[in-house]
Amino acid sequence: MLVLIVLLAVLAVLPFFLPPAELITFQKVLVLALFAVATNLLIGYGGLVSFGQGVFFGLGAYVVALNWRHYQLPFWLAMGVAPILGALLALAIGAVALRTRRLYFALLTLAFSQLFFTIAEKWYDFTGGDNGIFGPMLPPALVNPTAGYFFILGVVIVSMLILWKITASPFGLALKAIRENPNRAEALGIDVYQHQLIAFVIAGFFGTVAGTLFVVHDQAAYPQLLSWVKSGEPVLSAVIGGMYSFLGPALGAFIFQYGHDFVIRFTTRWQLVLGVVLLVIVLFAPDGLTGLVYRAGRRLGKGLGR
Amino acid sequence: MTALLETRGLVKAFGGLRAVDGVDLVVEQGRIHAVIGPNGAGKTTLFNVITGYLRPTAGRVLFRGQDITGWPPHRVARIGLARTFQITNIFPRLTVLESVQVALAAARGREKDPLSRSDRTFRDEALALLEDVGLVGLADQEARTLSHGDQRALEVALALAIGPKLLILDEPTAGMSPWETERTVDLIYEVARRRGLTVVLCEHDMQVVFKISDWITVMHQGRVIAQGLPDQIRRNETVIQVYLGEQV
Repeated sequence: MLVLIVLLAVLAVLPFFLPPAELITFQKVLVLALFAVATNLLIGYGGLVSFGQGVFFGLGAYVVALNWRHYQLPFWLAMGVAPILGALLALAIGAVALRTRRLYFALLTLAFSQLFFTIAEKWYDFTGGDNGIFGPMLPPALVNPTAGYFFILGVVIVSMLILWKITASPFGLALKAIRENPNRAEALGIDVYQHQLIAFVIAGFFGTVAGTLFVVHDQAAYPQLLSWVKSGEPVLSAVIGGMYSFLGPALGAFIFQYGHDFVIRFTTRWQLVLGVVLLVIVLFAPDGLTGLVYRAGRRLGKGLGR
Repeated sequence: MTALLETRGLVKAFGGLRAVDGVDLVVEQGRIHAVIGPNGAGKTTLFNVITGYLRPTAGRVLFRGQDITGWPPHRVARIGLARTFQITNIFPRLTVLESVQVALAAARGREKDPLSRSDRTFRDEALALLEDVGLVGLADQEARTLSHGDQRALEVALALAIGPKLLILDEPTAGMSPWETERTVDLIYEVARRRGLTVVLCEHDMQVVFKISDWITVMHQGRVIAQGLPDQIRRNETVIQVYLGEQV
C-alpha cells in the first residue's frame, strides 16, 4: 500500500523534474504498462497466450488517426468509440480463436493481427499504407507534453483500477481457476469458453485504450503498431515483470522500455540481449521479477522471524 | 426407492475397442454405490461419459429422469452431479480457501460477478466446508503444497461445494497410505450420511468397498457382470473368478 502511494506521488511530480524528451519516453512506458496489464488478464489470469494483441493497440491508434484524416469528428469522440470497436473486434476474433486449443489459439490471434497489418499496409488511399498517418491530430489541450502526460497517466490509472477490480472479483478468481485447471473448473460448473471470451473482450477493450493513448504520445498511427512485434511487447513485459502479480507486467514494461533504450546505446543487437535476458528469466525465475522479490521477501521474513 | 441416475445401453467405443459396452446402471437415491472391476474394465470411461467428458457412442444417461446424454461437463455439474478424478485434479496455485470459494461462486451462479471482492465472497461457508473435511488449518496454503491425502480431501470439498445431489468419486483413495485411506473413507461415509448424499465410487481397495457400500456393480471388459448387495457380490462365482479371487 505504502509502495503504491509513493509510486503515485513520484508519477505526479515527475513532469516537473524530467526534461520534455525524457517525459515523452516515459509516456510510452505508461502506455505499454497499460497494454501489458490488460494483456496479462489473458496470460497471467486466463492462461491464454495471445500473439495478436497488437491488433487492438493498432486499432486504437488508427481509429483516432483515421478520424482526424478523413472524418474530422471530435477527437474525444474517436477516443471514446475506439475501445468499443476494440471490444467488438475482440468478440469476433475471440469467438473464433477460443474454439480451438492452446497453440492454435496463439496462432490464430497472430494470423488475425497479421491480416489487419496487411490491410493497413496496403490500403494506401485510406490508411496511408506503410507511411502511416502523421500530423497535428491532438486537440490544443493535449499538445503540451506535460498535459499529454497527465492525461495518459489519468486514463492509465483509471483503466488499471477497473482491471484490478475485475481481477479481484469472483470472475477473476474463476479465470485463475481456469488457468490452473480448465477441466476441473468445468466440473464445478464454470463455462470455460464464456469466461475466456469475456476476458478476451476486456483485454481487447483496454488494449485499444492503450492504442488511443499512443496517439496522444506520438500523434501517429502506422502498420507496425498492428504487427506481431508490437503484440510481443506486452507478452514480454508480463514475462519479465511477472505474470502472476497484477502490477508485474507494468514493472516489466518499465524495464522493457528503458532496457531497450539503454542497450541500443551500446549495440544494435537488442534482440540478442533480450533473448538472453528472457532465457535467464524463464530458466531461473519463471514467475518474473515480482515473483523473485516475493520469494526473497518471504525468505527474509522467515530469517528475521527466527 | 427411486433411481437418481440411470444409464441405458451406454456404449463408448474407441476405434474397435468398446471400453463401455452396453451398460445399464441404476443408482438409487441415498445409496453409496460402488462400481468395481479389474483395471481396464471401463469404470473411469463410464464416469467420463456420465459427466460429459466423453460423448457416448450409443445409449442414454438420465439424471432425475432428465436426459442429460452428451451435455457438456459444466452443465452436468450445474444440475447437481459432482465428481472427483482418479488423478489428483486441483488448482495448484490457488489457495485451499480460494479453491472452495470459486467452487461455491460457480454453484451459486456468481462466477461471472466482476464487481464483488472474491476474497470476501462465500468466505464463511467455504471455511465451514473446510472444517467438515478437516482442512481449515490449511486454508491459506497453496493447494500444490498439500500432502496427497489433503489434496484428495480438498477434491471432496470442491465436489461438495457445488451442493451436489450425486457425488461420483473416481478412486478416492488411490495412492494413499493406510492411515490416509481410513481417514478419507470415514470422511466420505460421514459426509454422505449427514447430507443424505448419493455416492457412486470406483475403488480398488476391497476392504473399503465392502465396508461402506450399500450396493455394488461389478464391471469386466466394459460390461456389467454382476450387481447386488455386498454379501451377494462377495459370494458371486463369476465375480470371484474374474476379480475377487486374487483378493478375498
